[in-house]
Amino acid sequence: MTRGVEILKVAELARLELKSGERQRFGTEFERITAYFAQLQKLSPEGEITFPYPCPRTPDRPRDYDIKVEKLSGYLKDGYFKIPPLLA
Amino acid sequence: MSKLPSIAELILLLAREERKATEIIEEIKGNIGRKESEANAYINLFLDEALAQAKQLDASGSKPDEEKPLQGIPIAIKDNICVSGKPCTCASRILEGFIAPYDATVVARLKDAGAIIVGKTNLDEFAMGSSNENSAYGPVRNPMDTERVAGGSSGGSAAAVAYGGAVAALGSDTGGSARQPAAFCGLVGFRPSYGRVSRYGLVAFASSLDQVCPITRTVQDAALIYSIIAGPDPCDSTTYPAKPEEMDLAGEIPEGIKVGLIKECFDDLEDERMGDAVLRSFREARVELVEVSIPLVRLSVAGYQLLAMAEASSNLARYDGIRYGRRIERLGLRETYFATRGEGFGDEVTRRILIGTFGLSAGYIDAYYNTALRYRAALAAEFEEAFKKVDFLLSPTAPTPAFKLGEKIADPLAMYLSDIFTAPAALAALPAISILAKDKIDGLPVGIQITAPQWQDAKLLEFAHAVERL
Amino acid sequence: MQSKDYEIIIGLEVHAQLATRSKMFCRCEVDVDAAPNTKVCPICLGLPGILPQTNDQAIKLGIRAALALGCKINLESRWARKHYFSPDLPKGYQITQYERPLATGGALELPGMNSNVRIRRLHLEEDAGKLIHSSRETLVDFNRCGVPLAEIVTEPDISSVKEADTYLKELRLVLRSLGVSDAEMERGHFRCEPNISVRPRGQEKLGVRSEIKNLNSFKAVREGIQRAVKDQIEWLEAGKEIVQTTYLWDEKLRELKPMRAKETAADYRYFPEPDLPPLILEEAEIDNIKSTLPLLPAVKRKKLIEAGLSEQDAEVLVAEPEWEDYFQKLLDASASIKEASTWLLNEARGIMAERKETLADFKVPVKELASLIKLLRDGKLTRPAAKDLLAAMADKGRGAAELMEELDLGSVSDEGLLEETARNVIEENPDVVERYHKGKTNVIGFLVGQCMKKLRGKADPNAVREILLKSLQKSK
Repeated sequence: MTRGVEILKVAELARLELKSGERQRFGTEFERITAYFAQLQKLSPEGEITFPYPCPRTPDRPRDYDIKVEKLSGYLKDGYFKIPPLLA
Repeated sequence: MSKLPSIAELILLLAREERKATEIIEEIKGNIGRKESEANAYINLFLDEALAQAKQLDASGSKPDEEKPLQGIPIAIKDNICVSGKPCTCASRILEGFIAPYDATVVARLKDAGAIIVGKTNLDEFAMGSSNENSAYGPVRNPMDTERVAGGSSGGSAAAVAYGGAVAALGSDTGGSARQPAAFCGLVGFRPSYGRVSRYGLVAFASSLDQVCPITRTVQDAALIYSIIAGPDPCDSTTYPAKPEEMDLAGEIPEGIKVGLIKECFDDLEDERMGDAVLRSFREARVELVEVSIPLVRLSVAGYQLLAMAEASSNLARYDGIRYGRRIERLGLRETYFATRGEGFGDEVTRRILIGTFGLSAGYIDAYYNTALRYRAALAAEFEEAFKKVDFLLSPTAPTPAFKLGEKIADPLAMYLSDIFTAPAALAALPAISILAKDKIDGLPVGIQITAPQWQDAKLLEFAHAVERL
Repeated sequence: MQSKDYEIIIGLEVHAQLATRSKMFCRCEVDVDAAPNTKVCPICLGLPGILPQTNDQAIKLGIRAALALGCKINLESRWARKHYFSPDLPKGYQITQYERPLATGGALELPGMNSNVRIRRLHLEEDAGKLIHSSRETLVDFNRCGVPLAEIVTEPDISSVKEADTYLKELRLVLRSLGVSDAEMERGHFRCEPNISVRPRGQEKLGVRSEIKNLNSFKAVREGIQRAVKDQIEWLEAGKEIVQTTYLWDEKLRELKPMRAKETAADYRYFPEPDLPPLILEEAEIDNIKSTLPLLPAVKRKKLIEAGLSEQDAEVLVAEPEWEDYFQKLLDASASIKEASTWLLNEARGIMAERKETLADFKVPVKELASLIKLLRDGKLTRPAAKDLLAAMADKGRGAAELMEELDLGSVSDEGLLEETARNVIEENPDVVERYHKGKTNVIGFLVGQCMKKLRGKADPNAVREILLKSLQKSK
């Protein structure tokens, strides 16, 4: 497991652009912190937390929500959210 | 250090017309004028609105009563809790320009009770941090000693209440984010049992750990706010379906209470005086102090951070600039995602998303995330065993009092370790409160943390109030 | 290349939009035709701080579908987060069910094919929004985002395009007849993704899979599967290695376009949804829902065929509940399966087709059609006259007896008039009558025809024939 490769793969998964300086720094911290977490594995803990109450269910009654998307984003076109194209 | 009355005092003063609502706002304005530039506790202030509201209340002779128990009480809200029509930045650049279109349930309940919202307080970005040095709006300085941190992530809320910029505040606590700043700033921070208070409108960091918490000057104030904001909410499917119990804060400590000192929190303390301060505060208390061991506490930071980072990486996946917030547009969609998120998140958030994503990824999820889940269950079981022997558990809130700005920021792990005593209760979904020790250390406040069994929030508040009065 | 040397193995994954009024995790109205981004709220837009609220009716419909498919319902099922980045997925994850779905282990019988397709699982999840791509930009509409879906996955039991087509049509029928989903493929209520692999007959090892997305009609499904099978057989014959690929069906070019491997090798990072406790169901609720299930299409089909209907006619009734309802009432009123099926499913249906009407537009109520059948049975109408009457009723929307009088379509049954007509025809056709008496009895047809002409077709030809015969006897 090479350090550099791992961090870039994860950054890709998380859609985070890392500048070259950041890669090194985050990479080192990443290694150190994940190694610290690995201590948990040695414990081999057992058990499962169960939620004390079940998933509540709401009646199927539609409600109008007066939300104005213009207040959320300036990138709109004819009521749609507009984003750059998917480049092939 | 703030000379403002507590909520309980203020309610009486307002009811008896010995103070006016506008006077309080003016006093707060004055404090803000003097202290805010150094403390940097607020990201956004609504003083004009607050004053207008107070004027209206005074003019109509409205006073706190049964229907509006918090009428005219000025409260600050951490800027990761939505207030309708106001920016909600979470101290992050990626939410620049975002105006919340709805009130968090806790905010709606405070408003219904008549409270006045003073402003949105500073925090570590997306509530990730233990010192409030991770904010895109600059660090918060501790009003007790401005060279030191106010704690995190609810540093802004704590500092505002500490210097009198508000009478009380709402913070949030995921692994100690409300209790530790309260301890660092000489206040009370109460973390309810997970599920007691609705998270609807609290911007999610770690869904299974987050809770909204009152940060106040006294336990009674915390109980007052808790009684307003707690209770089941159809908007939050994880809320406990039963209403909170009635509380009786007038009483003394009941007979025969056993308090367990968590061995792992007293051994190997970075600063031994912390342990002494905690014990001395209980000298007058007619309780039996017993030593209790909860061995898994030693790895609580590992278990906590792993779970929290994994959930955070998931909860922050929605920040892409497409529907709201700041967008860094590139030629193509893919590049836009990378640039927006790369630029928009600060270092600590980036670090946690990376590790959290890794912990959930194929091939690693069992060794990391699932192991942390099992650890959590095992820890909860240890707590359950401990509570068979004692009624409450005791520890310092943090390993040290407030540390200096810049002291831990370069070493993420060192920073994470400041949560070692507060993380366990969050993991086990237990209620916990930080109150002040009688003694200070080097002139700095010391926090005592009392933990109770799950759902015993009322008993915890009653006990903490009695201890506070000693 | 001999396709019979190869075995085709197909599994089908269907996403059916549930017929609820509001979305899966928020109370926005389900209305994908509304103006863009008008049926949205903080929850389905994935705003900061929001939390999901589970739609009770979606759960009930999911249980209904699962029971109808013979599945075992998990009394405890769990919600999960499935992560991927896409502009139509606001939270960056979809709330779905992964390790513990709502139901597992059912089967669907394929009508007329003597085979079964096993259902591996049925689970609930939320839909994503809609994207409109162009070269300049992409536009996003979140009206559809959060709509409840049931995902139904089969075992790879399907072995031909015909079976796949039949399965989909039958599944669609089941979901429609239960009221679980409108299941209109063209409207996106019913999306199908086949997994196809091919292996030489006799080989144990499974072939490599091709998965196809973006199939928006039954025709496209058939074509898409055919293409995938053809391609795979070609590659196997050529000794080429097949790589597991996901394809997008190109509707315009009618081709399979491979998606980039990057896009398809997704790590979804599934983990239990922390914002929703497990879904706990009680046996009582499930039993209650079971008791309200209507007869399944397969059962209805059998019953109708046993009662004497043709397979085609049975299919019409099974496929359309309004038709079934009308038919049932008509049957009750007329007490004749043969007449009811002829007059509704042949005659009336033909008229509706001509008039480009649906049953809802059809102006003839059950009562009047039953009345027409009675008139016919009582001999007051000839069959041809009845057909004309029905057409008139469909046009004018008036009663059978009333219109029959008005349009003078009733049969002449007055014996006196019939006898007179017979005598006239005999008088007018002496040579034919002579030929009849000389033994050419088949000229009776001509004579009947002449009588019918005089009577303008308004008589029962059998009655006319009888009276003619009598008259001919007399005239000897």
